[in-house]
Amino acid sequence: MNYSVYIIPVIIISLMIYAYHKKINAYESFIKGAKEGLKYSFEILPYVASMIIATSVFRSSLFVETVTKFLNLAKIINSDILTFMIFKPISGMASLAVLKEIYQTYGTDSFLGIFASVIQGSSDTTLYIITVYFGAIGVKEIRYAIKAGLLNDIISFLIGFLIVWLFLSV
Amino acid sequence: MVNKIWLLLFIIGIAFAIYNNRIIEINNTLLEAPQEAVKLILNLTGLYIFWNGILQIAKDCGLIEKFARRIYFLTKLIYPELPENHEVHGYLASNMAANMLGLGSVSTPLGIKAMEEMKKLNGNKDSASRSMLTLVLINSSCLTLLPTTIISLRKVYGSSDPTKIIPLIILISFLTTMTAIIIDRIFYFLNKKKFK
Repeated sequence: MNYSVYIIPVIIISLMIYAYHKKINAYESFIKGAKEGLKYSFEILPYVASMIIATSVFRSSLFVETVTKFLNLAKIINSDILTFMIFKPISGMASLAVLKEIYQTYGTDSFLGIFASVIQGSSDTTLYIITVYFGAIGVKEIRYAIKAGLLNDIISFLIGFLIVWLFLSV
Repeated sequence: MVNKIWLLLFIIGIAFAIYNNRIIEINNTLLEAPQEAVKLILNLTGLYIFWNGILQIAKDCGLIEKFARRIYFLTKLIYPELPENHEVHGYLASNMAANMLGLGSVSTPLGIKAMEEMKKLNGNKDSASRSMLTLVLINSSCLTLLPTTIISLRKVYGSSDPTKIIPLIILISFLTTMTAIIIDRIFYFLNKKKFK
């Protein structure tokens, strides 16, 4: 059933055949594009590094875990899932680590396991996307990007919760 | 705002680590995190080089332009500001297609390429244009049809039915992409004057 492994090779061979048919110098084109790709990763390095260092420091203090454990005493929300939702928009590595802990503690097919799976699968790390996309082209004034991105993350948690809840109660 | 978030991550992190007696961990992190960052980018560099090369071939064959013309009816709904008959529509649509297939490493170079074209259309200013903000928001909410990474992760952690979540992810990512577009419109109309 796993046809997805064919996607990339088929795209590439079709393109190569088309380039051959069109008689363009594909090798030269590739090199030109590759140089540009190198430029992009060079441009984004300082942006990505600055965010990874900051989020790693924040993460290793265990600030989020301590605060969410404290809130759990009030029986408002499960502390692990809250930790996951806080890390989700700011650090891909941190949210992946928490997701694995959730899988181990509650199981992949528990309510929390499924909720965390769909949140992880249906969105990307907002802060990372913003720093990479704007960093690569050197745009400094990013207006409402962060506010709007974080707002949409909160909305996606609510939509995700509602849909998983409906799905599991049917 | 990035500045404030960045500073707060350091201030809260280090202050709380001192209070929480985790100062040795912070020292280790300060030593390791910069190296981790460079490793991550080095891994991505290979992918960026490869996919940008492939993309350039597609462009030189005229495929991007062809695709742009065909898909314009769709992209103009999301990016009304961008001119017709411009290759940027091809990059935008390819970026979205790569996201749908769960190909993150392909979608990023395509997205950056679109951002670059948008910057040219915006007179090379160093402030974000309306369509740049839309693209970034759509990418962070990320419409997904084939969530490959999460399925293999669920398999590793012993799920009895790793693929059960696919329809949920398709539905949720579709809805959150819609809300991303709506939020983007609302923020744009509230801040319209500042763009001039």
